[in-house]
Amino acid sequence: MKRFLIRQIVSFSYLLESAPRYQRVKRFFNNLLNNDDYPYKKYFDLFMIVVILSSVTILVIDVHEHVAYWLDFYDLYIVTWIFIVEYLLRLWVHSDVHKVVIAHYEESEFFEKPFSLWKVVKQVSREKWAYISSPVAIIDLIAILPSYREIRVLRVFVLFRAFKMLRYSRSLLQFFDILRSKKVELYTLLTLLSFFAMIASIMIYVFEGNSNSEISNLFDAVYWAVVTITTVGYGDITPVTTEGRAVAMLVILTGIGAISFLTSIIVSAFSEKLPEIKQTRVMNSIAKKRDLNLICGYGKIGQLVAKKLKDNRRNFLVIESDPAKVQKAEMDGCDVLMADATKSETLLRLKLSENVRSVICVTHDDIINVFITINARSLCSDVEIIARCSEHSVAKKLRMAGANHVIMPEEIAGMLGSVYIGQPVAFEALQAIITQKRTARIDEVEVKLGSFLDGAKVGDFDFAANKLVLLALLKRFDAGDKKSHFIIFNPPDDTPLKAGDILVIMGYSVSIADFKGRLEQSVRYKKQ
Amino acid sequence: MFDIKSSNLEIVLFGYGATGAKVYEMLSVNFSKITVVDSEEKHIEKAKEDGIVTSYQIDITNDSELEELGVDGKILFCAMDEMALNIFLALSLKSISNDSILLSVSTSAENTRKLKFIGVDKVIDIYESSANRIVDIITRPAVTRVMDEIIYVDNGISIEEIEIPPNSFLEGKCVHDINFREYGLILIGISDKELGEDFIFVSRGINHKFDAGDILVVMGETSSLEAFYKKLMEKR
Repeated sequence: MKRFLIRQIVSFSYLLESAPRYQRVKRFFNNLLNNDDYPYKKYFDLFMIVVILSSVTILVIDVHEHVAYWLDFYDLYIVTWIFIVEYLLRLWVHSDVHKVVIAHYEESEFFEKPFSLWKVVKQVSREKWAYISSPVAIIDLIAILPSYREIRVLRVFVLFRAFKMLRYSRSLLQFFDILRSKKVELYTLLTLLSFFAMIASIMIYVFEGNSNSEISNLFDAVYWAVVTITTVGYGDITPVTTEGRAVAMLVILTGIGAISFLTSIIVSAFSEKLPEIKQTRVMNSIAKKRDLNLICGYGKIGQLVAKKLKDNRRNFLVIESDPAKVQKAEMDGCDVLMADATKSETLLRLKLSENVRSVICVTHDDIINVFITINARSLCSDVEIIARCSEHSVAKKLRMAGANHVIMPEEIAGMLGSVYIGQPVAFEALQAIITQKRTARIDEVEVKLGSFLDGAKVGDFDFAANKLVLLALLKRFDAGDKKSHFIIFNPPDDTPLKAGDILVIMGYSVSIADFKGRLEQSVRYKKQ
Repeated sequence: MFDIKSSNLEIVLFGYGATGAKVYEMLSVNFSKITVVDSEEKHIEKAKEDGIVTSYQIDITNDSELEELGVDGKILFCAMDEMALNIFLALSLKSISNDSILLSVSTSAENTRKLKFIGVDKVIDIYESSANRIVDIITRPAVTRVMDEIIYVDNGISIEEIEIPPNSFLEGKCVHDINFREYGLILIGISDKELGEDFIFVSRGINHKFDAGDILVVMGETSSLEAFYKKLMEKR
């Protein structure tokens, strides 16, 4: 009989292990309940918060007035059942029973020992008990209790339903995390306070237990001591004897000290954790953004790049390890992560290959820039890397490490100077169009699939009449690759245009905007 | 390059530190008459090592030593590593030189403002121009590639400014009369002396009348540019 049972259990465990549907369902519930990155979790959390709030509201109203029958029904059965189901689901996804069975079975097969069901039960219950005894699970369990209306005291546990909301709100959980970081200090203070309160209550009881009509038992004395030591002082119980008043004075002074100590502990805990909270917030806001540009280093160039990218409405994140520069970036209103970009962990956390478009290495140290480049390239092969350096030897290394563009500030300055000296007029003109300071500018327009330029020839569109100058045409080397283009300067009229080609045109911003608009529109017409 | 002037331009480069050396490297591609001046001995030693014969060590805070160099009518490029020194130098040069073009590098918007206030003709902000480049690579990759090909890469395509000589075939004609595409060129704009220093982009659509002395900014292959230049130089 026993062996039959064991065989059934073991084969059922293997069945579960090999059932993709079961695995999928379990993974779904685990994500829904525990995975913060899972997109549907927040809807589930929201749903639970609404359920809890409605239940708490009904119970509070029920104290004085009778609620409608259907509301009572809803509270008693539906809400309770939702809670019970949730509790059981959490218990279920907490650990895999069948895996334990399989592990034990395989172990016993391997060592040729008899399979012990008792051991399995022990381990399973230990794992599940770890969940049941965790504080959140206890709150969950107690929150189910108020449904037993017969026991009035249990109504108090309605509060636990409110506590249950903590689970669904990350910011509230964070608050407790912060307090937890000061556990030792808070415990010390609490012990000290209860010690003082105890002394004070015994003293007042001894001095005034007989002479004060308000203090009739020890509980009254404790109540007075706590009310006084916390500096609340209702005044419903006041000492009447000189000795009692002396005790009161001492208690008040200790109370003030203790309370200010408590405040300072909490405040310092918060200020210590503040950077961490900010980081979490930045990470959360960044997680949703696509096409992110990472600016590693917030020095002179980093600051300028950040400002310009912001003007261009591009998503970017500053990564900086120097606290002073981090603060500067925060003041400038940038999203900033205080981390070391040479560490793989930092870049992995930002989901380099999915969300990041480019990595800009502009720390003041060439070697660090090389490190960041290697780090980024080793993690992702198609992210665009722009790195700054000041030596030719480093530039070579950067290219080898995988940088797509190497920026040498001094060289650019020299180049600009050289162009300016040779051709001041052309230089100013170029400068004006490159920096977009004047209304004349150079822009790029992609030939969209199905637009009027798709399949046309360069000569078919009269650029001059539209006050545009076509400077160059970028054609794709092969249709699949988006990045490799070859350039045709001043393309002849009979050059064919295809979707994916990029036109580089010069003109006033209005002309360019008009041209782009027309191109967009023509796509729409063709679709109809 | 089509201007006889440019090969005869005399440049005095102040500073041969980290910045100056790089600037020299770039300048030496296009210009031959470059004098390097620095107040630090080791910088000049390095310049000599790099094969710059015309490099001198002088006290750049001393006006008379600067005057001895002969700064009039030359192009003066301030590229000292230390910004305060650079600004002081620019001020000294401005006060003692006549008819010279003054350029300076700058490292911040604040310094740029000071240098412009002094009256430096062209201030190049090292970091700003680098930042511009980085942002351009991200926001306008195609434009950046095209500009790179034109300005930095030596592939035969360049932008040149050409002054219209007297009695050329362009004289009296308007922008719309001339089809620059026939010459394989793109006209970017014109700087008209009569209308002041303002630069007129062709994309503005104004049918400008060409006069001698106007400066054309054209883009194209070197051979096309040369052919056009030759045609322009022919007297009517």
